[in-house]
Amino acid sequence: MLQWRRELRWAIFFIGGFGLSFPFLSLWNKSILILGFPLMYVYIWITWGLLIYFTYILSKKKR
Amino acid sequence: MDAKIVVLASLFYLILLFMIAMYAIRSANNGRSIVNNPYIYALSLAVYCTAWTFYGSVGRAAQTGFSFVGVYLGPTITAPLWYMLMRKVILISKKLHITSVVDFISSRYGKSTFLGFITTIFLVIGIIPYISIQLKAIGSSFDIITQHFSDATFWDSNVFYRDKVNYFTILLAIFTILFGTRHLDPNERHEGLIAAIAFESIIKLGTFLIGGIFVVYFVFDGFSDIFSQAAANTNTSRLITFAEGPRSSANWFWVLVLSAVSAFFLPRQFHVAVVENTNVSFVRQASWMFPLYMLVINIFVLPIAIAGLLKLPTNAESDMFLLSLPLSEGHSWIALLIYIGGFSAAASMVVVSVISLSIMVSNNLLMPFLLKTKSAKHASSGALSNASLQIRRIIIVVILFLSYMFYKLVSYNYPLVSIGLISFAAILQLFPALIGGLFWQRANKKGAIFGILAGFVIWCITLPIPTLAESGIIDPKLISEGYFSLSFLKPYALFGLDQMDSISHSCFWSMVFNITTFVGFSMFTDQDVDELTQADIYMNIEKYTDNPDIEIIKKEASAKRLKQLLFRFLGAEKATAVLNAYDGKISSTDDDKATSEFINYVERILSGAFGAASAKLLISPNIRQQTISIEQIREVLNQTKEIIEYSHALENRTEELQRTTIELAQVNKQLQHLDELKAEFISTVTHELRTPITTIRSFTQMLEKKTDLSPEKRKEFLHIILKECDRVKRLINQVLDVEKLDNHEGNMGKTHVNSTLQFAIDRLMPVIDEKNITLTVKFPDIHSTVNLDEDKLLQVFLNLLTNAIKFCDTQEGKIHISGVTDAHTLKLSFTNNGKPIPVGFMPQLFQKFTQVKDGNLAKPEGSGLGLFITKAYIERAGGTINVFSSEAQGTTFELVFPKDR
Repeated sequence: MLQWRRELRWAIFFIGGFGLSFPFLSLWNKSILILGFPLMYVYIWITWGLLIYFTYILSKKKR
Repeated sequence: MDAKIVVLASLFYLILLFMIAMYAIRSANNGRSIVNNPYIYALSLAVYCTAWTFYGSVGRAAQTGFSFVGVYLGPTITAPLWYMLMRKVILISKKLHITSVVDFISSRYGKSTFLGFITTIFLVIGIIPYISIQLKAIGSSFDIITQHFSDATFWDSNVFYRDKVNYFTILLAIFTILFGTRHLDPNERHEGLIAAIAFESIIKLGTFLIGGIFVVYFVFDGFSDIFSQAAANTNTSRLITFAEGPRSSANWFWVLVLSAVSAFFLPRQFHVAVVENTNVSFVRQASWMFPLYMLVINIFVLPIAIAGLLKLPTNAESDMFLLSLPLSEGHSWIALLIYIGGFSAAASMVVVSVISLSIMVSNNLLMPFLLKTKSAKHASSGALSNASLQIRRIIIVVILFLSYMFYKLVSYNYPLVSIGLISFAAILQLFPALIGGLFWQRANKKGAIFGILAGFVIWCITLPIPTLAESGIIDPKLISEGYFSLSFLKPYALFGLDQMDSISHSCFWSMVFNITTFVGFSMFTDQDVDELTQADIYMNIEKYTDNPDIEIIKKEASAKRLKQLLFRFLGAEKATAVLNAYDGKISSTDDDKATSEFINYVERILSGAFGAASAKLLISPNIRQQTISIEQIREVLNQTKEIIEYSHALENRTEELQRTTIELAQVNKQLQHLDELKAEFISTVTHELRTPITTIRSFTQMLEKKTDLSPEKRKEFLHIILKECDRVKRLINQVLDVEKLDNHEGNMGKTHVNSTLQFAIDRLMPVIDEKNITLTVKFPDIHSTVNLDEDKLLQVFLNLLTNAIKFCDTQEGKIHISGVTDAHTLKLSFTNNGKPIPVGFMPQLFQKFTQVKDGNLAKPEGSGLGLFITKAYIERAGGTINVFSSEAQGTTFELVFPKDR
């Protein structure tokens, strides 16, 4: 279980790292507004929020 | 706004911070620490968000759009790993009483005085520019908010005694001295300071959000208004996308790396995250709270940058847009709140940075030299402790003065972010030695020293020196012509590499040299005894945390002399307190020979107060250490490791055995339960068999003995005998069915539902009539089939109907059968109006050999297999069975079959 959590931490780290780096970021680099927000703004803040959420899930103590 | 109001507000705010800090200290002295919780810990980490975040991010966003956000995404990306990494760092630091990031490095590499010395110098050079931009932010924000009164004001930046930054720096120095150097604490924990920092984090977040909401919702009509105006304007449309290209991609990458490293290894971050940490588990919560703080504080950065470009004059300073926008709209009180937020962000960074630097300079730069002087050797009790505090106070003043000078000479002309990133790049030079020290056994002192020196030289020639050249302090030709007029030594295009921005370029080359040197020296040179033992602690901290004190090298010392050492260097009061706090044995026997545990304790206490390198200098003359070769110590460490591993393996084995015992107990309990059920089943079946056999026997006996029976009576008796035979046969068939089910035997076929149900009803109609039960059937006239043999489906219906008859109301029994069909499923319901099934019985309703002890019958009839068989058959047909039971609605068995097509 501990090993699994550790692997999950690394997985989230790598997914976050790739998701928020070039060239992956280029996919969202367009002059488009989604509901009034730039596409890149929406992408970065949603990915940021998801990373925090997954870290929160991992930070919970195993019961 | 009038400068007097701004000055008064700043003073009032500082007084408030003093009061909060004092309250926290008083609470801690009364045993009620207000900082000992994960929320305060996470807020204290937010000291990462300085004036750079508060003002500089907006300036950066106004110039390059999204690139500002990389500084906050770096720590967020690494947040999932914090607990793994920081737990180790904190455990090591608590074990060894480490009080700064320099101490952490020098302690790992054999408590090296020289390594501590160069790292401290390097960090002071690296951090002073960072402190200077905080002073710049305070000065600029003061100028902006008081600009309309500038003609009448006393303040003038060009005259030393009329420069407001001067006075703010003095105020910050007083605050830092009051709360950072109150006493010499071996743990270097400052409750008051942390409480004030946490409060400041709340203030800077709150005021930034107020500014953001004002700009977005009061100056504009929300986010979409700002962004749509930005997209339509040629000056701002570039901000809603990244400026792509190799330079910006490289810059983005290095900013992510720099910020991820700096968030924990900047001296002030290490201080709040490690030194001030009271509970290692707080890192868990902080790993998401701190990134969340950064996310929230950055929501409005880009909109404010766009708003500034759209609304303010083109010559407005972009770093100060947040402050200028409310002023331009005539809302000076909102501007004052924002000014306080910015002041708060700058002040918290300055105070914590200066405290951590003063500890480093004192412990690693000055104390090792002071301890070698004659006066130190003959110092009276507590004199050195007082001297150390005095030295720290002087260092605080000197660092703040140097920062002020750097601000006046250099930072004044640069954006906040540019200078900040130079400091981040400095911290990166410690990273190979830090990570190598934690995870690479061979990493050694020579590797660390030469790696850091190489990185430092490259950093110097590629960032600070060309920055000084750009500001005109040294010859600007250096940038275009290179060092010594050698074109391959151009500071921004070292060895001809000119495809990167200055930060990426510096990080790239400094890391190439730093890592290569560190790895090369570590591979090809040896460790000494101290390095080897320290490396073992850093690599395997868990074994040292679980075991009080593992003695690697035998040490001998006089307990009396060690105590005297504590009194001499800490003072009577502190020494008495630490001796009272020690709960181990001081001497092993009645004589004066100190235990190794006590020797290590004294060394750790002195490390906390004076740093690992100084403590080593202090304690070495007082202990006799066993002479041991490197090979011997390797052998001891290996043996210790084996013992610990064996002990862990034993612990794991014991845990495994405990788990197996629990599992076996559970299996045993299940077996006992099954045994009870089987016994009950045998009793029920034999009872059920005996009843009809007894009946058959008595009627056969009567037929044999009473020859004068009338033909009608004979027929009636024979009918009873046949009926009882059927009952026996049915029971035996059920038992055989269960066996077949257990062996997964049985054929599958397709059976027509309507006709089979009607057949079952016809068979039981006599019993239904006999018991005066009202039967209603509402079944659509359709020709659905299910994947089950006819016999089995008939048995399902007979079982459910028999149950309904058995359990329905004895006075006014009612049974309702209904069917519903849609495109995919066929649903059948059998409802009776009897007493509900007890809730507690529901879970085992469909288990083998179980029967409801209902109120209608004294002893339950049947074998207890009916519902088990029914459920098994339905599931074999791909269907499900559910049961609903209540006092008002009676009991319904609902069968859902997938429709056969």
